[in-house]
Amino acid sequence: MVLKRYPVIIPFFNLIFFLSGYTGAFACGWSESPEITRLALFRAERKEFLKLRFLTYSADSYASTNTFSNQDELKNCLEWQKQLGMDINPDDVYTILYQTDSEVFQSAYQAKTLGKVFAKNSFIDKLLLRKNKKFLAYLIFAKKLEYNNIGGGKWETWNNLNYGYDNTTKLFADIGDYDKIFNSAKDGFLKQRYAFLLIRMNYYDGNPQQAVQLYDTYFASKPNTILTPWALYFKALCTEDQALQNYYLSQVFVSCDAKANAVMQHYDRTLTEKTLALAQDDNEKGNIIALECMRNPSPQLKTLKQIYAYSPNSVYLSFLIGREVNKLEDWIFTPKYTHGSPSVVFDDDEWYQDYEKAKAENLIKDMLYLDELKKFLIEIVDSAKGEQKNYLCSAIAQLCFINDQVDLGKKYVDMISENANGSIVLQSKIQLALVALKQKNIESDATKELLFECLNSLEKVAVQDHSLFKSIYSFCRIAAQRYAEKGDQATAGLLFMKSNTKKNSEDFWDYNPYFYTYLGYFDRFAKVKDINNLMALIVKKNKTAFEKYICAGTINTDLNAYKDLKGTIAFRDNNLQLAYQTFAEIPEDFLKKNYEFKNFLNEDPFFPKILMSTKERKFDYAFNKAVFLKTLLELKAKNTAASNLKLGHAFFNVSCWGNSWMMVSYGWSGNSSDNYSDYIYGGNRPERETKFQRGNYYNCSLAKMYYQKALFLSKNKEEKALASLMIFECDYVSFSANTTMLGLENLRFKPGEEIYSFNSTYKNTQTFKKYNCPLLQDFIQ
Amino acid sequence: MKKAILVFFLAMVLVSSTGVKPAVVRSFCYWKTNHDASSTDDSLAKSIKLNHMYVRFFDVDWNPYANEPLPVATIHSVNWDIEKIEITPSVFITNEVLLLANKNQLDSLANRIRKRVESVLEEYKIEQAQEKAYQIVQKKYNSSDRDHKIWLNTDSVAKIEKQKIKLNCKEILVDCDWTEKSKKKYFYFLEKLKMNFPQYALSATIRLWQYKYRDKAGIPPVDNGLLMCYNLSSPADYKSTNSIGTSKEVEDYIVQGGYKLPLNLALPLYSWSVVFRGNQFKGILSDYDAFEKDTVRFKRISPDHYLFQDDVLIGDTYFRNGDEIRTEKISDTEIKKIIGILKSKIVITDQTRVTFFSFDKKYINDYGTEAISSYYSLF
Repeated sequence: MVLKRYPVIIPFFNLIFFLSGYTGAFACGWSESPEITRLALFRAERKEFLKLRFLTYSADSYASTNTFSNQDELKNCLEWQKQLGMDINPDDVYTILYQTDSEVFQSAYQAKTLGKVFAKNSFIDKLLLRKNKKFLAYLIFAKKLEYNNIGGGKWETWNNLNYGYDNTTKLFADIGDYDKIFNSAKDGFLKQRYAFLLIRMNYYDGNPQQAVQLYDTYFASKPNTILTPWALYFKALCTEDQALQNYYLSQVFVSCDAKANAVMQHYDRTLTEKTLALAQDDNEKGNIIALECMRNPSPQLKTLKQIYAYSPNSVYLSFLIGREVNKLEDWIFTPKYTHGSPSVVFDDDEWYQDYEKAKAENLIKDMLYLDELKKFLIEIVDSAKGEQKNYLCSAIAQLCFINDQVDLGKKYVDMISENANGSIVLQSKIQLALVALKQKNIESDATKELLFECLNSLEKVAVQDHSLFKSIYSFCRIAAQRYAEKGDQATAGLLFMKSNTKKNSEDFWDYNPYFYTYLGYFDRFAKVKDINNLMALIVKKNKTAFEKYICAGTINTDLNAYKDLKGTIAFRDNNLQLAYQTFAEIPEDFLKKNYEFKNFLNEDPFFPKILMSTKERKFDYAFNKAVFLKTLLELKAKNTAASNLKLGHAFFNVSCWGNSWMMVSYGWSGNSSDNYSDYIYGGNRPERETKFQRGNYYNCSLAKMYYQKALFLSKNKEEKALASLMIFECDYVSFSANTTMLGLENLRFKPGEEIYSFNSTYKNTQTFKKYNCPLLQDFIQ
Repeated sequence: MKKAILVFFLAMVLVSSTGVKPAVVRSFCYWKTNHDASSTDDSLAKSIKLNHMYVRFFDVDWNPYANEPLPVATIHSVNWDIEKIEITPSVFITNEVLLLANKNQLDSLANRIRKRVESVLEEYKIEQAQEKAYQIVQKKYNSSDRDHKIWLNTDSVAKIEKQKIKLNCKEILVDCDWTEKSKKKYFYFLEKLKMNFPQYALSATIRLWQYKYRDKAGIPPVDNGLLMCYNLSSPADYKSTNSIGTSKEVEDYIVQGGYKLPLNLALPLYSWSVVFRGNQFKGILSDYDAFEKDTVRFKRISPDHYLFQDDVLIGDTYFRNGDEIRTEKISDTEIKKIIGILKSKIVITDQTRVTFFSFDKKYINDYGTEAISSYYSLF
């Protein structure tokens, strides 16, 4: 019986609007990865950080980055320039060495069209000179090796239809007698280059001794070329002693950029003591400890102190300090501004058992760690110099902002030199914007302009460096909360949505905002005045730069969507007059054309759904919100038994148990928690819905009140019977809304006297005959 | 007899004077590397009464390390019902191949192309036969009976079905943007190819510059040409109205008739969007059309221009608020104008194929099957 009367409506459009805007399906359903949710605002960098980007603190094994250092390659180009003549443009060398496909180069060489294909390339011009024939020959050779190693993917063979790349039939370039070529090379510059290629080849061919021998002959004296660390990398891999291999790798790591990632794949972090024993000086010791610490996700202040003792100005010390700041941001900001836990969690049991308790405990622990870290940085900042000093000031300032020591933070921002690098200056902008959020009047145009300046600066850099989207996401999220705290939900909501659009930069392609995407935040947190403010902002003609920014990509240009929400909020507040006026402004066909209205507002709201069998339901009612509200107002004015009965039906139907619940809510989630929408927009949906229309949405309180009035006023037995039955129904749905189980729990349900009247006094009515159900006896007994 | 001749003659005059025109062969180009049979494709082909397809079988490019031309990007599967639709296997050859290959290599290339075309067609027959066998067996198979013998026995059926398949294939198309410098070798190669395909007619693509400057470009020794009337300017040019082509540009190139080959005609039926920041080219968005529906993040400033109103990362490019999109597509009016120009200069018969580049349901739905049908009818 119960199941028949309270069919479960699958909240499919909940899924639609969440899935439409956000992607990421995991085994147990939709979710976002911790790395996407994680907040991080500190992204100050020293110049050498580019090669370390992939080691930036991340919830993933390595941070994903779209920017990579090409310093090694540029150095190599400069070496070619120095060798062939300063009239060569290093960019031209770069084009040929690193941006020209091996096959294109070879084809042009064979067709004798190098000069034409690479017209105006000063490097090619030089190589084509007769005296530089040997340099061209080297390049042809190197390009052949490049093709053999990584090229040739597109070619098929005439012999069969093995479509696409087929390694077994891959054609390799004939490199000739390599030893002969190598031995005949006399030029020192080329000899080293041939030697490097031979070292690499020997390593891959499994001839480690030859590789080591070649290294010792041509590179052990550490000639001033970028090839030395590249060659040392292969020597390291050919070294059997693991500690010694580690030692070599640590030297490669600090002396070139291109091999940083490769070093991390081979470096054995369990051999630190043995590796340290090989170090020649404090600087090398500091580097070895830094390497071990590079991917450690736990607090590492002790290690930082060790590195500082060995190498106080180390760029790796700075980088690791940045990682510590990011860790604290993750641990403190992520749970504060999102519904997720920090992206990296150490004590799983704690989180699963009682998240709120663990959250509070960890906050205390993290704040203590923050103070310790800050204290250490303040101790060392005075003795630091140049870029290191600026960087430390920036890090200290960030730590101050995390624990709300705004004045102290500002002091350290002010200590940053005007000549600091762009990244530190950008960080200062963020920090000053954070100061403004905390201390200034955030509604003033001046503050908003400052916020825009900060966001715009980030956007400009994010064009090249997509990892800065995280800073934009984090900043917008923090700013949104400040505006929400100040009661400006219009600005808060737009900033919140902006933050969501920046959250997962890789998914922009799939970002398809849906009707509810624009309303989700406001549906949860806005009041009527906020919607009015929002609409005023949307239609404002001369928007400020800040307003333009927060409105870009975050607003539905059809104001009727917001009017619908405003009317809905007014209706939830039981302000029928305002709801009517608002809905009356919306075109009649709005419900037909938008969202899921036509599928869920299509039944007669004046007859209770609970009394209709599935067969009787028609779903063809031309629903009009304004007309519905107008009728409610007229019925209220009449205040007769019949009008109150009808009002009871209407309010029953706009509850979650009725056929017109979409008058009140944009999604049906029953009384169970709606984790998905909470996750996206925040808040607690069932908790909010409990309060809709003074509890009517779940408990049919208003419906019951009108039915009671009808029962009291009516002299008609049929009306009285119907009112009695519906009072029982309201009681029962209210009861079931507060229980999680049916069956045994039903025994606790105590029906009111109305159902006894229905079963006795009104047993001869048509209403009784039509709606009586044998199982009602269960409740009566 | 004389009366009969007179009646026939009068009838001919009557027919020609009442404007009865030849119906052209309705064709499309299929240039992807894979084609899986789908009911959508079949229904689109049916609704535009398609009776011919140019299908790119593979490309040939020069491999400098092998020092010879090699095949690239061979089509994986050809599932058109070619018993109903005639197919012209098409091979794209880079100009580099012609410049670098010697005479022996060109001889060998002609032979290799023949074998590869035959192999692809053979693969196609096998695939079609297996599909037919599967359909036949599936009809007899009753899953509730679990009659695995019937279910598994498809090979013998496929063998029989393969023998029944009659390939509707009469011609080979070679697509190459040959130059004045490579002309001699190219024409030599075409002659060799013709010898390798005695049972097929040979066709070559003719780009508009090759049509206009026929004295320099020469006329290839083939049975007919396919005149390509698109891709006339660079999409990176901010000033270009439409880099896919305009009727004005086509008119500039087709100034005279009298080309010494029967010509089939290829017209563009695709679209893309070009993005500029200021007047700097930022890239091409070929499969992105969100701006047409998303009025929040994109503002339409003219029929074929949109402005980004938000910062959006698409692929690896971060487009900024204020970036401009130029949508490029030959409009209905322009296509009709181009058709008018072509009709005025080129001889159209009932054997003339009019083909559109390229078959893709996105583009076909974009123009609409009725409009496409009407374009054929305009010839």
